[in-house]
Amino acid sequence: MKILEVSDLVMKFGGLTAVDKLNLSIDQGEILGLIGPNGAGKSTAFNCIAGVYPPSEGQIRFNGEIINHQKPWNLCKKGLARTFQIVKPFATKTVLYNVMVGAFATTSNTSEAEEKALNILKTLHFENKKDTRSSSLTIADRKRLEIARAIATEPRLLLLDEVMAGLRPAEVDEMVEIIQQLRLTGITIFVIEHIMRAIMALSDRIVVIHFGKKIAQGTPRDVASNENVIKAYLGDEYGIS
Amino acid sequence: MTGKDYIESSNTMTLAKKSPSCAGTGIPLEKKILKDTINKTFLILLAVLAFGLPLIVKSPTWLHMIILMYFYAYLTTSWNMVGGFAGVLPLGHSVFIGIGAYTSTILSLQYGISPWIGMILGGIISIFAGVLIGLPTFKMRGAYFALATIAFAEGFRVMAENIDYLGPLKINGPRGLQIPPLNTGLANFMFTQKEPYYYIILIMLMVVLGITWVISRSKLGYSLNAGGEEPEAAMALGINVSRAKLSAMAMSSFLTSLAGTFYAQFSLFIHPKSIISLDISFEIAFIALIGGRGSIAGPVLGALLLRPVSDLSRIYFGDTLPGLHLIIYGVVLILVMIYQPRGIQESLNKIYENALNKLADRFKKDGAV
Repeated sequence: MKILEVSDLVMKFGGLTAVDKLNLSIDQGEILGLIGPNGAGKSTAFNCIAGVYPPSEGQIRFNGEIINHQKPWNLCKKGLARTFQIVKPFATKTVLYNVMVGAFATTSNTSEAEEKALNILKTLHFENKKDTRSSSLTIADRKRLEIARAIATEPRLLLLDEVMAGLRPAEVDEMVEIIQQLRLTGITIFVIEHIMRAIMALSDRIVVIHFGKKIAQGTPRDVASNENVIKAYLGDEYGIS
Repeated sequence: MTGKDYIESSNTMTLAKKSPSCAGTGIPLEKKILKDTINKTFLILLAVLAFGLPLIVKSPTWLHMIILMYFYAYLTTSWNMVGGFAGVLPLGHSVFIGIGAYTSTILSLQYGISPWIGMILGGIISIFAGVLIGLPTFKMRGAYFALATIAFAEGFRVMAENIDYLGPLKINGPRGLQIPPLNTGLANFMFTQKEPYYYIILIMLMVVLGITWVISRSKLGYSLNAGGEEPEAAMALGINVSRAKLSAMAMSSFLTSLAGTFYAQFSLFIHPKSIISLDISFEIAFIALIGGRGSIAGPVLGALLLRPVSDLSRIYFGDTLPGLHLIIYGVVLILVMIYQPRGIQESLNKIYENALNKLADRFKKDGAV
């Protein structure tokens, strides 16, 4: 079953077409990678799916339901959670507080939310920092906090926007492990990433976009050897000879 | 031990059981319970002291000053629901004081309705006014929101100053309304002594502090804080930020309006300049900023610190240097913003926390011996 279906998605900002007739779909339980050079429209596509921008044209279906003009908070309640490329922690609050905000999406009871948040922190090996103010976290921990908060809302589909950017190799490995664990709990994952090593290891399938258009899709191996993809990243003079 | 306390303490126990690994980093459970007990005793002592104060302070002048101190603490705590938790800076809360004062006064003067009923009606009207102001303005950020609320408040004051009769209702323009002190008694919310006013405002303050405490621990409190700090992230986490802000605004306007009725009955004379003025709106914001926005104790501490400054400077320098208290406010505000940007409550809280720890340790030792 397709959990997310995007058909002919177009997003225009004035005269600029950031996303142009994008088609993609994600199966339940899959990890789909979205890559592309800087400015390709990856984050814009994410923002359309997450309800931040209403798309100019096209259709987005989540669980079969058209969600084009739904608000982010309603989408979150339906089971679509996301992280932000530029992390947005509630800086003056503790880690636990941050995660509890997410946990309140499915409950109104404070002690229930706290218990849920603590459980999530435990599964992410983040428990020892629960009382740390989130403004004093390292970048790796802030990214982890983004994920913790998002999964506290009990999503069925999780959109991860460059959660590994800026991390050290060892931290990247740890993050890959976390994401693989998340998939085991039944969450479908849609991930934007620049770190090739990570996205090749993670994704079942990869979609490549360039100037808002899809230029390739397939297994990591197919995509990596695709001529269009190499040209998009390295320029026209580089081809496979 | 009330039911809620029991649930809370049992909850901390279950959490501690479920997470044995946190025992190393967290505070030992026994000490936490001990600290909670000391905390509660301290609060109860404070309440007893507050209730007994009129037995010690006999001078009506001092009592008057303390009543105004509580009055401002109450106003700022009500303001804090929007200005503190929701992370915006409303500077027009005097509108609601005005609505409360005028509603109850007009109803009691012209129709003989008890101010207690007028108080609630004024509160309900204020809810509508608050939501009406909030709907278009909550989309603005920072200074723009503050300016918009000032505009509403000033517009309202100018209207009140220029309208003599609103239909059958006598507003009496800039001359204001005087409440003749004829029928004193609890039913008429009018007393010849200061003490009843003292107890009324004290109870109002305690109730509003209780409400704030409950909100800060509820889903609404978390939503407001999150929406105030990072609206986009909050929305992505399932929070309808504007709706949360509007409900906070509705509550805040209602509670602020009650204080308006109190002020009218306390001073028995209201006019637009005295109750819808920007001075009051600014003073509320000053107290909140200096005390600590978004905390429960902040508004009370701010009022405790600043009101005496204002009153004493008015008493001693009122003739020679009028307005000195505003300059002092400004200086204190600058100093606090430089050295304690989160308000004086933060450092006071640390001091209290330290003292509490030491006290708990001592009790523990005594218990062991």
